[in-house]
Amino acid sequence: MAASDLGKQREADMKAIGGALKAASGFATGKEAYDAAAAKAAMETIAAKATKFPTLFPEGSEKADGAASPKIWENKADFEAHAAKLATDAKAAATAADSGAEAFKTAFGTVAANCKSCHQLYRLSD
Amino acid sequence: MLRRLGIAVVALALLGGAAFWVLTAPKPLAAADIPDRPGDPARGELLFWAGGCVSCHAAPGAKGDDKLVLSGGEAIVSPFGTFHPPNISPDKTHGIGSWSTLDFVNAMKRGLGPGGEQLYPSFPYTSYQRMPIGDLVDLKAYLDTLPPSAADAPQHELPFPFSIRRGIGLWKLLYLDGETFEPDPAKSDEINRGAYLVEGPGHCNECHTPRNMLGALDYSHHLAGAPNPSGKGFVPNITGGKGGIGDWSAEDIANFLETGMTPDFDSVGGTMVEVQENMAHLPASDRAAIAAYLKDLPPLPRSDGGG
Repeated sequence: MAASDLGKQREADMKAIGGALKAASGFATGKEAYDAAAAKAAMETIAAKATKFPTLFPEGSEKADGAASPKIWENKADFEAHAAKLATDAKAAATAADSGAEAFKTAFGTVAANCKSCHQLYRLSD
Repeated sequence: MLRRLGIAVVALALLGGAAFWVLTAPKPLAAADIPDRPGDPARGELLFWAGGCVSCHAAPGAKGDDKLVLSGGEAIVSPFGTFHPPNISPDKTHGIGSWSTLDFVNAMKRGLGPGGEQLYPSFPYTSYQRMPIGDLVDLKAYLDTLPPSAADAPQHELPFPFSIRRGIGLWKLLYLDGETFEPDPAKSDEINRGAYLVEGPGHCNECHTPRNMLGALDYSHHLAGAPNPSGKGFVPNITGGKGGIGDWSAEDIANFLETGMTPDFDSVGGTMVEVQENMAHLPASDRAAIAAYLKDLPPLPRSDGGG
């Protein structure tokens, strides 16, 4: 994949994860009537995207987008571990979705906390 | 002739040196400027979170309650060199436990150490100077309640001429106006509260407003975003103009400061994570006030023309 395509793919995947979180957030906050199937689908989207995401950062693609920190390549294993944790937490939330709104709410919070902990280290300046 | 020229050169150098010495002299506040009352640590705690002291003064990588040990040592990389925020824990030898309230107020409003030494503006007293003395008395009272630490931060690593502390006196003549925040009577109490938090303790300008070549804030691009001072990426425009946050509601801004999530469920990242987590400690009314003020700002295009 060309560098510019990698950059676009990273952005698209992050938007898909954000979109899935947004779709499920109403169920976690109770602002929307709980829909187990929709909650589960959103978490499965996140798990799938998070699994693929670290493959979009091969050596030499440091400049494919303006927000990726050089620390990604300095600490590649840690970056991959952050993505893997998001995938694991999202799978757990997909399972929790079957057990009702309360269980999902807790699992959703765990998933959402991943965004910040990774962005703090590996996304530039915001 | 040559001899006379020599004398003239020496005389000029002495005169220049004397002028430098006078111009760079510290201009501290006096004991009479400090109200004669004990500080209120509960009020001070709110200002502590608004001021984000932990973001720079906690030990690098500190988590949870360890962040309240303000032992310093973080590295702030800048175009002028690398700064290491000092230990500001109440330890009497290694921290600021032996500082009087006046010493603390002079640091925050005048950028001076207790011996009158010039402090580098990496410590954002250009913003903290906006805080009324009463608020600083309360903040000092809160800092005094935190755990002491006997750690010493490394010295700043600065090339010449930035290594000459005294030279900051010249910079202050240009860029430290000494003004305390005054509410704008034409605006609501909520907007004024937000303006105080943003312009004073919150020191949002220090990253979100661009700087000129001398490292001073360029208010013609007030809060319209700036190159990251640490060199990579761009700190966002937080006005309503092009490339800014005009499509965020006040509720979106307040929610972002509380949870770290944008309206599109993108999350906060980089150094803003620390800021957001500090802001999450404020009462909801203060986050709403910050949001109201940002929504009321003149919308400016992103300072670098991007967006």
